[in-house]
Amino acid sequence: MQRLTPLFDDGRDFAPGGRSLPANTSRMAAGAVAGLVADELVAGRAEQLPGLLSDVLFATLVPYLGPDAAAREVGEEI
Amino acid sequence: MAATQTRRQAILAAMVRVVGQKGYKETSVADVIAEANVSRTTFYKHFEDKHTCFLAAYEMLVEEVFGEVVAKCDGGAPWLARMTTGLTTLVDRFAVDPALARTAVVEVAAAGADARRLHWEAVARFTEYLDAGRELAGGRELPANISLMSAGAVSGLIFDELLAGRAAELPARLPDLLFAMLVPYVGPQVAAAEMRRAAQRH
Repeated sequence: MQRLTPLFDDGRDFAPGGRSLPANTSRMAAGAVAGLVADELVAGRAEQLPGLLSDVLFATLVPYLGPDAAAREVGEEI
Repeated sequence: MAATQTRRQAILAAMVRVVGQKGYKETSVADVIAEANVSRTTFYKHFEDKHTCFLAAYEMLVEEVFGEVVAKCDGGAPWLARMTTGLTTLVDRFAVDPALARTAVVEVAAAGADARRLHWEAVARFTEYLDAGRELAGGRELPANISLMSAGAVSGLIFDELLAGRAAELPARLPDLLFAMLVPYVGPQVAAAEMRRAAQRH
């Protein structure tokens, strides 16, 4: 998981005031994604993970962009 | 009967302590019975093996610690105040008992699928409380599982601190934990303002 976080942190470049976000913002994004995945796996729904893509993208973006902009991006990408 | 229950409780408490200190894989039944000061016969009278004992110990831990935290999340106070109190209770408890914290969050991952399920079910108990954070979202539509994102973000930060052996520093991380909890609902600007307020209070 820690190997993914530097990739997430590029999101600072797209966030208003991105440089002033908490140092561990990328870890929050990764944790949120892990939470979504864990919940599906614990429920025995591994095969449904691809259907979670929009939520995973939202969880990745929201600490940087906020819920409104994250939802817009998800709508455009998926 | 009471003495039997007391010995069982002693074994469970010992399992939590030893696993937190040595790690799940490195912990043996011999370690646990030595810590609990019981005989091997007593151990096997109560538990089939190390794994079943760990699962019972973990269930006890969840009821004791997470039950206390969930109770703090109940009540008539505003949502943010209740969540802050719940989080504070959790990190303070972990800070004073690093072995328990490590067992609860880190070592459970090494104890097999059953144990990981118990852990995630404990984390997921917070989601019904977190979901009331929607009231701060100003009526905007949010994903149905946003409380899982919030719980996962907080859980990830706590995991990292405990993995690095920094349980005692968790209370100082409360502002970051609040940011992680709030940001899916309100975005980074509002969450950062709450984080700064928490840092001033702390």
